[in-house]
Amino acid sequence: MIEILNVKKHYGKIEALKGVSFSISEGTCFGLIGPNGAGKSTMMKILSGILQDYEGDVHLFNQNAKSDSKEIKSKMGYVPQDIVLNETLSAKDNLSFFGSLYGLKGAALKERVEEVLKLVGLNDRGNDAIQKFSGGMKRRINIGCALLHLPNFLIMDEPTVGVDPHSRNYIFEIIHSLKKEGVTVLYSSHYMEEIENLCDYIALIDNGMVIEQGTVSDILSKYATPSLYVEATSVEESVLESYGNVLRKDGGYLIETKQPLSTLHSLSKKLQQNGNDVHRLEISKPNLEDVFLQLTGKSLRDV
Amino acid sequence: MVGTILKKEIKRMGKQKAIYFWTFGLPILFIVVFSSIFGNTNYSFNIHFVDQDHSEASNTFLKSIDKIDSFDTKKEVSVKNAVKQLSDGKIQTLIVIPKGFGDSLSRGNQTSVHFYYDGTQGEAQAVAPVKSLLDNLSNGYREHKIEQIVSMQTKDSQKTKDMLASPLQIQDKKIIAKKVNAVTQIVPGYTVMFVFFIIITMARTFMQDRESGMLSRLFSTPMNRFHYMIGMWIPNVILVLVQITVLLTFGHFVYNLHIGNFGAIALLSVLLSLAGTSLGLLVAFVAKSEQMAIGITQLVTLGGAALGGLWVPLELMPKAIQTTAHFLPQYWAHKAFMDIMARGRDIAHIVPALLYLGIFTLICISLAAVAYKGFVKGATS
Repeated sequence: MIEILNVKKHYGKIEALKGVSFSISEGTCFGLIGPNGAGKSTMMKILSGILQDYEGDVHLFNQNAKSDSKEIKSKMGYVPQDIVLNETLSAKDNLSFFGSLYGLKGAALKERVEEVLKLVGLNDRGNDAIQKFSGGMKRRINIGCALLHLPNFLIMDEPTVGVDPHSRNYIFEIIHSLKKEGVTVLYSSHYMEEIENLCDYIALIDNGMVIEQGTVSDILSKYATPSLYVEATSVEESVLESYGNVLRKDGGYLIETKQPLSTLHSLSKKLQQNGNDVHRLEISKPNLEDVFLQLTGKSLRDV
Repeated sequence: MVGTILKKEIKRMGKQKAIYFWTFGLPILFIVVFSSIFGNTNYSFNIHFVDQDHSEASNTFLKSIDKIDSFDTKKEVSVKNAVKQLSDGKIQTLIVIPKGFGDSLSRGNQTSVHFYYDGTQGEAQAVAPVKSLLDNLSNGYREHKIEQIVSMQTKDSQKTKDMLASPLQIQDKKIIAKKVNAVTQIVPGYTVMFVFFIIITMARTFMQDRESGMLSRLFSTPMNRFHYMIGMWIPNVILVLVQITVLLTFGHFVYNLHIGNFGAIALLSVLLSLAGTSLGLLVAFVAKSEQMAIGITQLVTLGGAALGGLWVPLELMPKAIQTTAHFLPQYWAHKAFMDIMARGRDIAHIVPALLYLGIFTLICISLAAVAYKGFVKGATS
């Protein structure tokens, strides 16, 4: 069990975390969702032991994150948002370096390097310098560096940014196999479909505070009301408001309504009467992004 | 843990081609260029001549010039051609021995040798010694004539010599310092200067680790924060030691540089490596950007080289600069190298330099350890 209790963190006058609390059960994948600057990376740096000057309590594996830092670090892996590798060294050299930092050596280290290369699908490129790799391949090695020592807890800070579909699928497979092995994963991403597919529990974080947490399905059923999505030229927001609560989304409008089918019918007629050029008019399946939009009025990727 | 970082860093350094150029290529280039300019100890003045007399006397006159180490005679075909070369700036001096030179001398009549020279102000350094030589030769002929006249009167050669002896005698007393030449100044001078260029390499590496997120990522591992600092420092100490070894070995085999007491050179090299790299640590942790680090490095290396007597012997500098030099590691390191190589000193004689470099290292390391906390904070926030 990983417990975060009332954690606060200041950068000078800026309050990055304002009393964050949540817990992560062992063997689960926990999603941390929020816009840029919400405090996700700060929270992850605290959990990974990089940041040590914060207020509040953090317990991992029944140990205190500050006083038992070294022991805790040996059981966890951290995949940073940026690709952090030695570009001139080979994939094997990079993996061996990080493995050695966790105490692996000799034949055991070599064996683990080969296993990890296989896991990330790059066992035929082990001797190539990282600078010859594509962005997606670098991302996979970046993840591999955190897996050498078989961690119990893996922190992944937006691991799929700028990744091609092939590498993205590889990364998802890695996470699924880690979950099967009972590894606890803390996963942060802007891509809600990733969170919905991978995570069992989530916490929505905004302005340094957790604004909602729970299982994905619970949160969706709690907040996601049926809605219509409309994109049309010269349509006035005041016209749409007569059908329900209106939110701006992706260049169009989301209209919350308890009777989506009949609303769709009447709105269609209205738009036709007004001579609006309609590009999209559809019943919208509620997702986490809509929930986040509903709770904060912000879009995850536009902030 | 230190060993892991050290091993990785040495491997990484080995793949950086720029390091080879800055650490070995550029210093060797400087040594070669400056040794070529200042290290030629066999420099001589060429005196071009046209002998129109072809007599025994003219031959004796030319031989008396050739006998002097610093002057060589070069025969020219004709006066017209030689004067043209002089006008074109291809030669600086020309003497013409006219026909009848020998006859006039044997009859005791006055004769002359024509001296042509380049009157351009910039060539005065090449002309003046030749003119002085010719004046001396002319005086020699005059003294010989006087000696003959006096000798006829006294009929005693010893008495004649005593009468004509100058009241002022210059007595030459040559003391040879061991193997001292321009190379003895240039090789250790540029070695010491380029040792301090390690600061740029170190600052760049540390800053790249901070900016790329590598430092932050390493802090998520069980690695102790000071292990990183030490693990990154030691490879640079090794690199500088290799640099000193390569440059001195190059000087030894290419320019016959006398190395001297090996133990003293080794100990001095270790302490110089520690001093240069500890300053590198300090600059890396204090500088806010790579540009700032480069600026500080230029100030330290070029300023230290100029004020520390690495380029020009300190004795030629004003008194104030000579005093200032005593505060610089470059001065102590260079002085110790010169003491070992040129004066055959051993460890006991370079203790002040070793002490200075040791204390300098301790001060830099202590300040770097304090500055490291701020550097780390910048990496994690």
